[in-house]
Amino acid sequence: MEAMLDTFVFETSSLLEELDDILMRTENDELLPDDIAEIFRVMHTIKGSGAMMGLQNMSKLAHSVEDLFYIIREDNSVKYDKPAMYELLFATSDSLKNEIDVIQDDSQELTDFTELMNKIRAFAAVMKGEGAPAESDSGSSGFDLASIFPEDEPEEVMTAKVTFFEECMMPTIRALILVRNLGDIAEVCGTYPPDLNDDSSGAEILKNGLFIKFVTDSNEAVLDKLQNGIDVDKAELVTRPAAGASDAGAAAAGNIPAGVFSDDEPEDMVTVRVTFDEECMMPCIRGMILVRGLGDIAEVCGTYPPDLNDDSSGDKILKDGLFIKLMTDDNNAVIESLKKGLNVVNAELVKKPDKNAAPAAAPAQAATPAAPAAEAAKPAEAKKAAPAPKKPAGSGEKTSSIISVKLEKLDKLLDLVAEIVITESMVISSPDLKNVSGNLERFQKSSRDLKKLTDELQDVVMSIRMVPVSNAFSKMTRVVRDMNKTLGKGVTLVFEGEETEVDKSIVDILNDPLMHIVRNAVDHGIETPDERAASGKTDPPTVTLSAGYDSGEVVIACRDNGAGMDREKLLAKGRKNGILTKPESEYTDREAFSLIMAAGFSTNEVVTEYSGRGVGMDVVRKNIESVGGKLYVDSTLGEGSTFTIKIPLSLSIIDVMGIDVAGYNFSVPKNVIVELFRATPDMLMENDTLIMRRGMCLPLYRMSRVFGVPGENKPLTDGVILLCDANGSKACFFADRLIADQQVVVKPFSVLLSQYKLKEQGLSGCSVLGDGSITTILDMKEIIDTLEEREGK
Amino acid sequence: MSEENKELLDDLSGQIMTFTCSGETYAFDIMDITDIIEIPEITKIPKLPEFLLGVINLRGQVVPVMDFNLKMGKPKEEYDSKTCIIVTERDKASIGILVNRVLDVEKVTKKDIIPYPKKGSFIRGIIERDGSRTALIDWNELVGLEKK
Repeated sequence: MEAMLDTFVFETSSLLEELDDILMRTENDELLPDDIAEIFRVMHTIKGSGAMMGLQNMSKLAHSVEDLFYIIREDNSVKYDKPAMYELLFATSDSLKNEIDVIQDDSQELTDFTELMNKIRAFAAVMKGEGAPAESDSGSSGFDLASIFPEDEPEEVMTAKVTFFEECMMPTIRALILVRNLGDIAEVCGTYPPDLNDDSSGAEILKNGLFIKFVTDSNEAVLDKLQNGIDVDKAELVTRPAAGASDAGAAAAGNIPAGVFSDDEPEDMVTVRVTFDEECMMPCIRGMILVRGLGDIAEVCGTYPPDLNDDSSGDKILKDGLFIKLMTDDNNAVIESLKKGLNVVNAELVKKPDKNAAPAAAPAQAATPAAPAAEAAKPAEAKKAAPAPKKPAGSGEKTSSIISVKLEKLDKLLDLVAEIVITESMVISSPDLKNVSGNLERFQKSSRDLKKLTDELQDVVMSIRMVPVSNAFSKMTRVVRDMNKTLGKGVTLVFEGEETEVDKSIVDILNDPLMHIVRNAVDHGIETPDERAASGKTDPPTVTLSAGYDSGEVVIACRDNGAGMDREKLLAKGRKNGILTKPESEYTDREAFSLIMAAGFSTNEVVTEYSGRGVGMDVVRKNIESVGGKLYVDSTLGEGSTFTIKIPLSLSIIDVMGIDVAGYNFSVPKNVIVELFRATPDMLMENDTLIMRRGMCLPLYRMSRVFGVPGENKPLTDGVILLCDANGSKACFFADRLIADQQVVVKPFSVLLSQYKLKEQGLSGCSVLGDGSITTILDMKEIIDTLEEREGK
Repeated sequence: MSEENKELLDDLSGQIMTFTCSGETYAFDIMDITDIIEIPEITKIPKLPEFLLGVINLRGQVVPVMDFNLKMGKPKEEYDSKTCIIVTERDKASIGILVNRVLDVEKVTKKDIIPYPKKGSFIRGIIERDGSRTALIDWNELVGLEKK
């Protein structure tokens, strides 16, 4: 089930993205028949797979849109309000996307889309009204008997239909009295129409009758009582319109289509008839799932209708039921398993009708299922040919050049390849080779070949995880479109280098920051049309998203040709908010612009729906920095601003600085190191616990003391000081010496070690280095936080 | 032997590997052992109990190592050329156990083993042969992992 859900989420998400693409493309363009067919297909698929997953709300919503497009598809000349329809379609797309998040979170209830569905239906009705007025009449007044039978209704609940005389006055009051009178002999669970106090219910009762749901010991007594009510014309019990459980037995023999049973059937083969409720969508798929589910307990020899992949089988199943031929040791288990299926109303064993009795039963239904008779030969043949379990669903022999793979598997593969690369360098540069006196020429050649191959392997594995950055970019079209609607700025979004490929995990990380930056660019960056005209700008307002590589980093930039940022204004605002750390004159332009990424900074006077709450940019910066990336801001007043994100190409490999602390080999991630320097005696203060550096007075810790290892007395001027900055908390650390500047693949500690809470103490994992030695990776943020906390106490 | 103890020893493979430590003889079930190696360079990791010496690089895998002497509460013995690391693996997590000297591989049957009465001890049972005693180690208890 979990795997099915994953697939459903994956497929539906991609379908919805497809839908968004089409909508964006066609909103201000002509809606071509191909697009209509495509939208229809998307909705049809979501309807089907949603129903299969039991997600009725999504399925029905998709159904309503499908209906809408059915009208457009059938009659291309039909007139409709296109902008209004697109609003509905976007709303649908958003609701469905949202629901995908909801279904993955067990704690959330499924959303009710009734309101949106009604809007879509109303829209479809208007469309139909213009195209075919006659149809809309019958459509709106249609009464669906099935609608009064909820799917989860217990079996013992009976439904009575009461019809009143046409001249009956105040039918609602009559109905109320009837219901009250039943109090002694039955327990009334509900009525239809549900609200008898509502005047409009009266008309409905007169037209369709009053339905009362109740539980009782004596149906006769209830009917008798109802029959004797004032103005009551008739009272009768009604059942669910589908082939219900109660009367299925009687009808069974009569309803079995010819061709279900063949003459040469083995005696131990049993036939089970499964009836689905009328609302059931895609009965064929349900059938297949049922048949597949039986795999463990029975050997399925065939079904009727024989081909469950054929769409026309669906109607047959709904009408006569699905017949499954099988051999089993335990009939009851089979029936139980079938009854548990979704939308299944009943499952029962059916017997082959007697040869003599058959002709008698046949005429009753000979008129209707004429088609099955023609197909009768097929199942018989199939049964002869395949006594082994036959899977009707196994016919999907489509070949595809694309497969989807779980990300975990790729992660594992990447890990392994990283190991191979490291092991390889251990073998090739093994110290043992120095002691070998003989000729190593062949060894050297082979190792060069090996290195070439492993390098290639590493490249290929990395490339498997690569996806074009356009995945993240295309989501922004939607953001800009929505903002254009509300802000009326008419911004054009341009992509450059969207085919640039980056690691899948980077695309996932980029989504949120990009959204913020693009919103900012449109909301703050681009001026209103009036302002643009006033400043004499003639070029259309544009936001450009670009992507590319630069020395091992992915560079994503968002450029706008708006107002740009005013250095003085930013500094003034910074002064007001008290976030300036040095005299204003010392701020470079870049530093001044970077102020907007500080927490609690927003220059926009008006808070809009999109931005201006003063959270935003600092969150964006933190998100990017948390994965080792950097965010830069550049701006020219009057010409626009550029936000640049730089993220290392691969996230699993990090740059570290190796340090030696009393014989321990530690590695500090380079993204937290501000600088490395050697201390001079005049820098040290307060018993060597503080250090002055670049006008800042910072706490100084001996790395050895932080981890409680020996090496206490080395003079502080003798080793190296690391100035670290983890999310704004700065501190200096003393280490004996630097070892190397290297790249490592971080591995978490094995469970045997992690039970000693190493992670909580600032040790994030280990890594095997190229020479085979092991280093411990430090989590400086954790260390600084712990130290600050301790000092606080 | 009680029923319970029979069950406890049911997973025995029938062969044990014996080793000495501070003059006493201990044994592992041979099925628990994946490797016996010489002492490579051990990388120290701070903030661990004394008996956990650090980690070693075993064919690219980072494997923690514990000193059996220290774990048993005995004083530390100098390592020599006979000292080696017994590597065991459970639930995909390997651990190396540093012992002074590996002795032999012996055959045992269930009835050779006298169950150890104390619960929660490293020792599953005692094997008495020719007047000498060998203690059979319970791997799970030794490593201190929660039993699943």
